[in-house]
Amino acid sequence: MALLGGDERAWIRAAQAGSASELEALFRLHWPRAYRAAYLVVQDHAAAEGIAQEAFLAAARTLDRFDGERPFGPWLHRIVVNRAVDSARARSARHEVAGESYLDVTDPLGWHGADGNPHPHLGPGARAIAVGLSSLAPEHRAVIVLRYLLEYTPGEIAEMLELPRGAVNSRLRRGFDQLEARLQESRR
Amino acid sequence: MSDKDLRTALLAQPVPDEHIAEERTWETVRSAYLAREPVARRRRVPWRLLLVLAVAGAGVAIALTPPGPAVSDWVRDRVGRVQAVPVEPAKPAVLSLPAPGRLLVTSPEGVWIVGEDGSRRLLGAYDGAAWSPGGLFVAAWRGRELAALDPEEADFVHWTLTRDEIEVARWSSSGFRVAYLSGGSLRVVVGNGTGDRELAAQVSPVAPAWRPGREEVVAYADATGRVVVVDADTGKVSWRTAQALAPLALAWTDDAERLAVLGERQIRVFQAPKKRLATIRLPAGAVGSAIATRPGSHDLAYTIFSPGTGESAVYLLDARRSRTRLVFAGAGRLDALTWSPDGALLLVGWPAADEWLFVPADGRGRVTAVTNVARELDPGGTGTASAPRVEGWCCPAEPG
Repeated sequence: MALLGGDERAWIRAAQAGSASELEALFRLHWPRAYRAAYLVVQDHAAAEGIAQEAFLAAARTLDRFDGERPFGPWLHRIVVNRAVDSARARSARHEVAGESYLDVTDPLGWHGADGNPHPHLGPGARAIAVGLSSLAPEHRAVIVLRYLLEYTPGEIAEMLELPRGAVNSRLRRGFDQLEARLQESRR
Repeated sequence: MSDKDLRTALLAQPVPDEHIAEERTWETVRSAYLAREPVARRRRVPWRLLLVLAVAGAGVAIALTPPGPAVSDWVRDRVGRVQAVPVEPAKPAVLSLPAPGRLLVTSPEGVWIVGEDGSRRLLGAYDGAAWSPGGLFVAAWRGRELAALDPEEADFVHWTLTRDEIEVARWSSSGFRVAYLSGGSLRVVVGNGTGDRELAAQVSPVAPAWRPGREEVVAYADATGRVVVVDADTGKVSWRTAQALAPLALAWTDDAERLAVLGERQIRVFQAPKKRLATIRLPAGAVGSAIATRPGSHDLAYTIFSPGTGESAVYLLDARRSRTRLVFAGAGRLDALTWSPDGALLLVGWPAADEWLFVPADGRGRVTAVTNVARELDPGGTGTASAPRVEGWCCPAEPG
């Protein structure tokens, strides 16, 4: 995971001083990965939006107290992924089913595009990963997302999720193996 | 599979609504950030604007954040009870319009024409009304009566007809047909009052929407919630959507290419014939309440209402830039959305504040508020039930 860059540190300081435009720069930088991470863990776009939104709202509210020398991303991702796991567990306990399978979703903004084309379809490999990911428990999805999407080390993940490092390694191994198995199946 | 393969696959997963969610969230975060304004900035920002931002922020956060109660409490701690607050110093009792054209307005007094200069004329005691193309006529209804009125002359009635209880009427863009809902069915009459006939029995109580153009094609919602696009003269169905929860409103873009269907939880956009281009899901806890396509574009304005918090918000979807922008948020329900004929201004009725808001579409100018509209158009009326409702904003009057 990349450490805090100079630009980001300057944006945080300026936002703390009252600059909404610098806060926007910070938000735009971090939104895509925060929302994607939440979505891949919770597997529902409305829930993912709420989770990512909560995290950014928390950041906006407490910005004055944020230590500008600390990296912003890990702090944000810790909130996002933990809330996503909690949300996914709660949904599972309530036996909720997302309103749609994300495999079937076409770009809801496709109509804005110049050609109006929907999202390109997933290739078989990416599709297998999607199916495999949805079959994992939320806790396993979380470590996969933190490791392979957000590129944290197992030690950092253990700290973020407040887990023993051995448990993180175990979940990573099991999750990775399941995804690979799905991928192999798709190639047969 | 390598680590890199897995990372590539995770990055390739489609993530629905990423951009629209980004815009919604940014507006919410920005409002929250501005509402927590540091003390040092208060000198540079008028207190009234701060209060507006705080209230707008409250509306946004409440309307858009799934965990609304927490945000709502947070905002109320800072600004007290959320109230209706003017956006800009309102113009009391002056109904002059900030753009050319004439408004068609219904109040408990009846149907009014409001001119650009603030002049107003009561056309008669009707429950509702709609412009004909070019503003040459007005279709008005009350009880079981449908009438064609002259907007230039009060009490001048071109024709009337009597049917079962009439709910709403719409004049076709060619000017040669009027579609109306009567007794739960959809009927069509020729613009001169002849040839009245039933087009569809048992329809949903949603205003029919004529497709712009010379052909007499109209969209309506049937009793099962399907939207049907039909030639009003031949009865031939062009296409129909799948069954869904009953739509609340239908709106064509003025190039006749797209049909937007507002539902309680989502907006569906279709491109004829029947291709669904987009589904815009509304924020959790909020329901759709109004929709209006912007003249000369594929842009879309829509209003949502959060029953849990009693807040409303208006969004503008910029089709070309794929951006959704919050243009207003406030307490209470908002009325119908009406575009100025040139598409430059969006008129939002705000009954709780007894105001009309004129919102610039490009986001650059200020929101102009006109207040005391109920007193102007319903002397002696009280409460939001008597709030004047804008039915349409039509082309400027012909010279001479």
